[in-house]
Amino acid sequence: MEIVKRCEQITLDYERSRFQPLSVKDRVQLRMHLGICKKCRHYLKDSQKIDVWLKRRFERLDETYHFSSDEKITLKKSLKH
Amino acid sequence: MATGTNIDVNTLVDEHSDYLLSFAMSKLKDLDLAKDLVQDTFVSAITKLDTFQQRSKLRTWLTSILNRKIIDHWRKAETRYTDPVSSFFSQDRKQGHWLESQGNNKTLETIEDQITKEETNQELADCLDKLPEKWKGIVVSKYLEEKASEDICKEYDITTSNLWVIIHRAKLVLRDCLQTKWKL
Repeated sequence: MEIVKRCEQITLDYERSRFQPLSVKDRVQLRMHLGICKKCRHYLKDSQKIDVWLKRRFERLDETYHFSSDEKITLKKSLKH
Repeated sequence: MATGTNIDVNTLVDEHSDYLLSFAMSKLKDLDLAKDLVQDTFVSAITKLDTFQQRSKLRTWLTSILNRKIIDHWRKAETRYTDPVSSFFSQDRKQGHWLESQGNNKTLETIEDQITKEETNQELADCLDKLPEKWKGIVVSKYLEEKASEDICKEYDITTSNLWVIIHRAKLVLRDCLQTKWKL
């Protein structure tokens, strides 16, 4: 096991931590890395923002797609057979 | 098919077809395919109407039938061609590439005040379409349907570690896309 993890692994650990608790070792590595790495702190901030935006976007499903009225007529006809 | 009376069919289509189409398009990219799957959903629903339990809402029931059709479509597509998830993984992201490009970028929250909710939603919708279809489906399962991780894994036939990796990569793609759109 490498001592210094790459940023890609650290940020993946962070995403994993949202699903399940990390081991003590992983948690310490994550915290230490974040202490010195501006880019990973940046990623964390963006990741949290994307979470908020996705939750907001999917609060409910907007009916943005529609069958045309002709398509609806065809659809109804095909279902009556 | 005594249950499939004319009135039932008309109400089904009038009240639910646009919702179901929009649900399908939240997970798929191909409008014609989405329309076909909605039609299949109605066909299944009409033939199985006697198994519908009044306790759940009709729309919820229809959506779950549609969702199974979408998943069946992916399963078939994967056996026919290559697995879209694994083929995307094998594209070999350059190690560290995403970080090196991060030098002077501003964080996404810096633009939040300047961008309206509607703009953010539109840009986000465009960026979601950049994801491989199955990833888009996983994101929708997580954020719209709020499904538990175990259910998502079972449905999409992936392991939990696959799920973290997909969420991680999906966020990287979304972030890249949003940064480009807003020239951060």
